[in-house]
Amino acid sequence: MGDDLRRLLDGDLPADQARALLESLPPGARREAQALQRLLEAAARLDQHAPSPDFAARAMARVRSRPAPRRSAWTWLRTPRLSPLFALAGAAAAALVGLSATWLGRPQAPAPQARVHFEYRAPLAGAVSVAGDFNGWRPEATPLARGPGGLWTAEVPLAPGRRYQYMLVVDGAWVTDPSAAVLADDGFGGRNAVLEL
Amino acid sequence: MPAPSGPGDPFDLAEAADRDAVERVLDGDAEAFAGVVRRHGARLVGLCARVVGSRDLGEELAQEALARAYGSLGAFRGDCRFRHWLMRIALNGCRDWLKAGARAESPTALSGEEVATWRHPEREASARQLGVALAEALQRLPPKYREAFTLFHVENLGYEEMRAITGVSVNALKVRVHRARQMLMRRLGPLLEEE
Repeated sequence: MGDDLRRLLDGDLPADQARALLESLPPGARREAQALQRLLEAAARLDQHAPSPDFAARAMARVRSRPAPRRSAWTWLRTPRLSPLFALAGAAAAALVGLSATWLGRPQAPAPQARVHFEYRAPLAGAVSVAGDFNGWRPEATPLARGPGGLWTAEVPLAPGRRYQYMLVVDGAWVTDPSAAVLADDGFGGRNAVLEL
Repeated sequence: MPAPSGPGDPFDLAEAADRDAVERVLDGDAEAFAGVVRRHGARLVGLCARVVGSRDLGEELAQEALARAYGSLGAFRGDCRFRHWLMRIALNGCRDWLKAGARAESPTALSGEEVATWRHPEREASARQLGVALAEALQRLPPKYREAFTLFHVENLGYEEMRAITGVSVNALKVRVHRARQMLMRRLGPLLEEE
C-alpha cells in the first residue's frame, strides 16, 4: 500500500484528492482500498454495547468508598473561570427577562440555544449528514462539512433542557453514532443515538 | 457523538458539566460525580473491554478508573478535556492489568454480534459475520496496536487527542494504526472482499 493510500486512510487527503486517488488506482489496489474501507466501516460500528444496568450504581458505590478528594495547590491557585454552564444560565435569564419584557410590550429576546458540535471520522466517505428529531429526520437538512483528517463536522443550534435522538447518514447509509454514550431503540430494529442537553 | 471543538469551547456542554461536577465534588458534594459516571461510563466500559478483550473485565476496569479519577480530582489541572483525562486513567489501568499478566484466565471474547448495529437487512448477515471476526481479530493484535487501532478507528479520536491520552508521539501512533490495519487485513482477508 502506497504512502498516499495510508494518508487517505488516516484522513490526511482532501476529498478531491482522495476521490482522484481512488479512481486512479489499478484494479488490485482498488480492491485493497475497498477492503480497507469495509474494515474501517466495521470498526466504526463496533463498541456500541451498553454497560450492565447496575453499572452506574456499582461505580458510585466504589466512588463513595474512596476518601473524598481534596483540592491541590494548583486547584486553589488557578484563576477561576466562568463555566459555560453559567453562560447558559445567563442566556436563560436573559430570555426570561426578554419574556417579561414581552409582557410589557417590548421585543422578545431569542430563546437560549446551545451550539452542539457533531463530528464523525470517515476519510473515505463522500457525504455525511445528521438526521434527528430536531430537523424532522431529514438528512439533507444538516450536512456535515469534511475537514482535515477526514473529520466531518457540523454545528447545530439546539435548545438545552431537552432530549434529542439522531442518526448519522454516511453515503446514504443510516449509521448509529459509534461514540454515542446513550442509545434508544428506533422501533425498526436499529438504535438511535441519544443526546441530552 | 456531539463533541466540542476544543477544551475551551464555550458551547461544550459536556465539558462544562464535567468541570462543574469537579468543582462540586471538591466542595464536598460526592454525589455530583454521578453525572460524570452517567456521561462517560459507557464509553469507558467500551474502551476498556476492547483493550483487554473482556466485557466483564472492561466494566471492572472502567469502575476502577472512575474511582481513581474521583480520588484524584484535586490533581485535574484543567489543561485538557476532562474526558481525555478519564480515558488516560482508564488506559493506564488496562495497561497495568495487561502487564501484570493477570489474564491467566482466558477472557470472554467480545462478540461482534453483541456490539454491532446495522441498518440494512440485506447486509446484516455478512456484516455481522465481519463484526464478529473483527472483534476476535482485534483481540489477537499485540496490545499497543490494538490500543492505537481502537482509539483511532473505534473511538474516532484524532492523532493529537490520542497523543494527549497515551503520551505516545503522533508519528508512532500513525505507524501503529497502519500496522494494525495491515495485520487485520491479513487476518480477515476474504471477509473483506465484496460479495
